Amino acid sequence: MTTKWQTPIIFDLDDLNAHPQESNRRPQPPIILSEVETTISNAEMASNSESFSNENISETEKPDLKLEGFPALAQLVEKGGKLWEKLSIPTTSPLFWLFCGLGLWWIGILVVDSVSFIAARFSNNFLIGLFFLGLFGVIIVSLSRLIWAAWQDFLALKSVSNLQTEGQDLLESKNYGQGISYVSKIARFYTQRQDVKERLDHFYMTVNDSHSNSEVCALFSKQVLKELDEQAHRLILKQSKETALLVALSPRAFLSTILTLWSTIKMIRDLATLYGGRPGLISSISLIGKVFQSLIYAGVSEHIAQSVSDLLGGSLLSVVSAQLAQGVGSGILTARVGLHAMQTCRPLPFRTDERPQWQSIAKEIWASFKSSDFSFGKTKTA
Amino acid sequence: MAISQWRQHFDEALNRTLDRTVRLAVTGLSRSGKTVFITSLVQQLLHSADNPHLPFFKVAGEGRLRGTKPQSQPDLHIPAFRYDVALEAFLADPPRFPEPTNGISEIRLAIRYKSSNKIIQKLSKINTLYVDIIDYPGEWLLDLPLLEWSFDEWSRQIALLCDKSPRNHLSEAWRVFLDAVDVTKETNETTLRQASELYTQFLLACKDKQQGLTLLQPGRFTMPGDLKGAPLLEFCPILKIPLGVKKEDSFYGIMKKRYESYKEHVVKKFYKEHFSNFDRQIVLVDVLKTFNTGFHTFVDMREAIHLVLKSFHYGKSGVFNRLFRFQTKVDKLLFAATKADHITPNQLPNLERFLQLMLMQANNNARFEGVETETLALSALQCTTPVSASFQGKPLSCIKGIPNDSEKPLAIFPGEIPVEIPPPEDWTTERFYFVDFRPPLLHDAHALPHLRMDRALEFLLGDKFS
Repeated sequence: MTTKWQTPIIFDLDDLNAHPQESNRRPQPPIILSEVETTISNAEMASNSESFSNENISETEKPDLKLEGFPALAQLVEKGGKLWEKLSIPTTSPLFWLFCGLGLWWIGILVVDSVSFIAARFSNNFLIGLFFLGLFGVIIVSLSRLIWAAWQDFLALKSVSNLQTEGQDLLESKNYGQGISYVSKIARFYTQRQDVKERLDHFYMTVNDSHSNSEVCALFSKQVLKELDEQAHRLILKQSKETALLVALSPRAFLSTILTLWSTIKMIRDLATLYGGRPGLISSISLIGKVFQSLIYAGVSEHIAQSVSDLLGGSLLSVVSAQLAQGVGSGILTARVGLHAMQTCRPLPFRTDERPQWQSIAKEIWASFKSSDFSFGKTKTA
Repeated sequence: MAISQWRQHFDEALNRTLDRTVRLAVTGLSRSGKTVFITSLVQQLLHSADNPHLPFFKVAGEGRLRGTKPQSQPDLHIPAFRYDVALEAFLADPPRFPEPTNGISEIRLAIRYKSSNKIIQKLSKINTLYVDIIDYPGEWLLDLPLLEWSFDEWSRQIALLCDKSPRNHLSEAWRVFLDAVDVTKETNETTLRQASELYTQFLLACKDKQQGLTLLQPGRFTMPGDLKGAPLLEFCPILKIPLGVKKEDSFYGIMKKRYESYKEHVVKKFYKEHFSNFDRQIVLVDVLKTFNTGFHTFVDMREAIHLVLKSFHYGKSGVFNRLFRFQTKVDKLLFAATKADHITPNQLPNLERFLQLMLMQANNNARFEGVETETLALSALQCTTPVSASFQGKPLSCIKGIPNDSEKPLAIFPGEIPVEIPPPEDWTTERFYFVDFRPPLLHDAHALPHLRMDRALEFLLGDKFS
């Protein structure tokens, strides 16, 4: 036999620690999960993974970056390096350097001009100079705060997609030990939410060390996220119905387009908030981009075929006006966008058997529309 | 009034038609943990409605379970399964495992649940599922293959087994005695008794913890139950079968006759009464025991389980069906490696994989006959807690508990479970050191701590709650 095995070992009872999973049970309450934290706990996890083969050990052993006596500085350096790696900007491209140079040029001119402008004011009159200096300070502070917030938003969204990739791996793995620490990372999104907290407590009571990674994820999905999924489902349904009705009622095509767009964006933001991310302006835009991207990737042709068959199959075209059909069509489209937004925002990816079915929502829109169509017809004739 | 009465009658009749019964066969060789498993299963079910520790038992996880109650069993001549006795043992100070089972007992549980099926929900709000479970000594299970063998065939099998170590030196006294007897001649009662006594001693020596052999036939010799001291048990196989002996009162003739009557009156009766009409079967295997005692016990146990499961043939061709002319309708078969708490959690997939390897043949047979099978590592009563220790500067998970033969807790990494069957020379204490732990100190027996009992329940009974 060529493979090596680990011999049995008896330990001294004083040297024992609680199992790493147990100590991970209570997530600490920082609210926004930043990229930095994620990578660090990833590294911790990697070093926690037990393996006796030599390759794995060499993999987890990282070069020692400790700056003796300056732990904070060392941490900062490490963080910076990791962030740079994560951003994956093509530094070899001349285009990158061109834009970098132009940007710096512009900022430099702005700063130098402002400084010389303020200096000129100072030489004129001290009070006026002071006034402009104060104004300059206010601009700088508010600008940097805005940038910081946008950056945080961006990181939060990125961490969700990182969590999703990690979750996908865990859902398919049969190994043990990483599940609970992963789930705790997701749980940090919900530490402030009273309604989720109860379910979280129940989850932590149920889960134990013998559950494999995929079992832990399945359990978390079932006991904690399912309620959120249902809420999201209701939200999407409500929004799609509203959209459908609005489009059907609005007399101008332009108006209906604006209405659809507005309600869709609102819904996407609501869904993101529901799942724990609190999107700001920039991250909202990138989130919306992502949702539409996934919508396109999901197979445009299939969508069209199904939507058309739905439009024709319900014998709606033959019964009611084209405008009404348009309303239902855009309702269904909103529902599909909503479901994709759900998939984009849910930190733990759906398992195949719990993936939401858009057909059920479409059916409900039909049903509600048929009844509202009745009243709609009535109001029209009245 | 009359209408409401009618309605009530109608509801009751409907309930009865929708109620279902599942007979669960808990199969396992002796000391594989049948009694503990059944006790835990009963206890988990009795407290399942308010038990948060059964997340993968869907009907409980979805909150559709209303409650469970033990009922009077259908076969009134069989003693009731005393799960309370086993619970008392668990709750004692110091806690201990229940005594080995020496007789047959039965329990029926009534489980009330809400159906997930909308149509059934409309018909009746609450449904009841009856689960019948039988506990018996695992030794008796090995009588099952005897039904297929004549006395000569059986003797030849035993002679073959006795050629190999460690049986050859354990059986020495009995073999020497048999060699001195002329089996073709008439004989007296004393010789017969002596021969069977020596054979019984040999079997008991094999069963001893040090040897840990399991393929011991006939089963009643090592666990006589109600037949203790009965002349029915005074026989033994013969190593050299004489040719052309017709005399009925010869040593050979008498032994043969007693073997046949043992088959007829003990084995057939037992299986006819208790092993018919099973719906679901779980096969419990104590894999870790074989790691401790060595390669020969592993081979022995594998052989024993194969023999037993072969007799349980699931299709129409099984000897079981031919003999008794009934159809066993087992449609789900679960192979379970017990004592999963005696290894570290990260070794669980390996344990399952190893059991799969061990029982591959039986598994293939069952699947071929259209039976749904699954392999699972479980622990009916969790005796240890996983902890982490530092080994060579890295964390290593190990388990902590109080061993059976000591008062002091012990933390141990018991060794890795191999994913392929290791060569005979690797089965040493240097590689495997699985300690038997005593039950944990429990303050109340509401729901016994367990590992993956919910998965086992879901597989065995889950679909009945639809």
